[in-house]
Amino acid sequence: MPEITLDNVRKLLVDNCMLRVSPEEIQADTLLFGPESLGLDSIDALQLTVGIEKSYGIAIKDPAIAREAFHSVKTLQQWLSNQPTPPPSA
Amino acid sequence: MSRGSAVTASNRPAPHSAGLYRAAMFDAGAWLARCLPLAFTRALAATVGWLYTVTHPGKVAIIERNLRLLDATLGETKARRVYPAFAKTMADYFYIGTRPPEEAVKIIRQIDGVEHLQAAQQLGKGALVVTAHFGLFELGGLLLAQHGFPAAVLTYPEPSRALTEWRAAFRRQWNVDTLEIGTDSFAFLAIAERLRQGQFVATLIDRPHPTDHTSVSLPNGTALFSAGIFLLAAHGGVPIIPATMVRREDGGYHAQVFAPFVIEERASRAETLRFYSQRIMDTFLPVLCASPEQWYQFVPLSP
Repeated sequence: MPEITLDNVRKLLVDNCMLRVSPEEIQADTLLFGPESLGLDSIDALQLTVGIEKSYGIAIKDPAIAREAFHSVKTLQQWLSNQPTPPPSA
Repeated sequence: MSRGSAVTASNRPAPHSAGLYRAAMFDAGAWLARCLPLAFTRALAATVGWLYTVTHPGKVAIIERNLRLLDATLGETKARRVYPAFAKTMADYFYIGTRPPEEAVKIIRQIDGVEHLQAAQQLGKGALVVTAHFGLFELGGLLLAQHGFPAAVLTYPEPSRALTEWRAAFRRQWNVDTLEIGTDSFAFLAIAERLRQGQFVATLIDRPHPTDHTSVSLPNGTALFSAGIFLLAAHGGVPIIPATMVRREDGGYHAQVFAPFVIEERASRAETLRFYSQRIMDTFLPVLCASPEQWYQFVPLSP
C-alpha cells in the first residue's frame, strides 16, 4: 500500500464523519472515540469504514481489529499504511 | 441524528419491570407453558397484565402518551389494554418456545407477502427485516427459519447476562442466531458479515439507540427511531423488508411482509436516515393504528 499520510486520514475523517472541526485542528494523537476525542459514534465508524473501502479498497471485517486501528488518528494512519495493496478487483 | 445526545441508555426509563424481566421469570413462564394449555396461560397472563395495569398508573400514563402519537383520540382506556395484551403475547412467546418449531409456527394463521422474502433472497445480498415492538415480533424469526431463510436477530443487551443468554438459546432452537449490538461502535461489522453471508438480519426500529437516533413524524407528534443500520444496508445494496406480526381476534397471528426497497443515499446521511425511517413508519402506521394495544412501548417515545 502506498504511504498514507496523516493528511489523508484527516481528509477521510472530514469527508466521512460529521465533524465540527477543520482538518488542521485534528492532531495525530487525537482519539477518535470516547471522552476527549473527536467524538465519533457508531454511524461515523460505519461511514469511515465505508470511506476506507472506497478510497483504498481495504475492507475491515473484524471488530477487534477496527477498535485497535481506529484508536487515534495516528494509529489509523499506521494501520492503513501497513495493509497490503488489495487486488484491482477489490 | 445526534452526536453525544442527551438520550442515553442510563437516563431513559427501563422498558420493562426489573422484577419481572429476568431469566428466572422466563424460566417460570416456559415451565407454565409446558404444563398448561395455551388458553389457560393466556387467561392467566391477561389477569397478571390487568393487575400490573391497575397497580402501575404511571406506566400506563407513559403508554397513553405514546399511543396518542398515533391518534389523539386514543386515551387511557386503550392504554389500559396494552399490558394485558403484552402479557398474552408473552404467554404466546413461551408457548412457541416450548413446542417443536413445526408445531409452533402453526400459530401463524395468515401470511401475506412471503414472496418478498423469496425475491430478496434471490438478490443474494442478505436482507434487513425491519419490524417494531409490535405483536409477537419474535415469531418473525421462527417464520423466517421455517421458510428456509437463514436468520439472525439484533438485540441490545438484556438487563442481565443470564437473560441475554436465555433469549439467545430460545432463538437458537429455531436456528435463529442472536447478534448483540449494545453500544460497541463496531458492532455493525458483525452485521455486515452476516449480510455478506446472505442472512436475513431482523431488527427493531422503534426505539432509539443510545447514541444514534432519528426523529420520525407520527400523526400527533414525533418519535425517535434507531436507523443507523440503514446506512449499512445502503452501502451493500441490501434490501430492507418491513414486516409485522399481529395477533388476530381468534388468537392466531397475521404475518405481513411488505415490499422490499433498497436505500439510495440522499443529500446527507441525516436526510437518508430521516427519509427511510419515515418510510418505514408510514408503512407500519396503518397496522399500528388498527391494533394499538399491541404496540409495546413502555418508555416515552417523544424526544
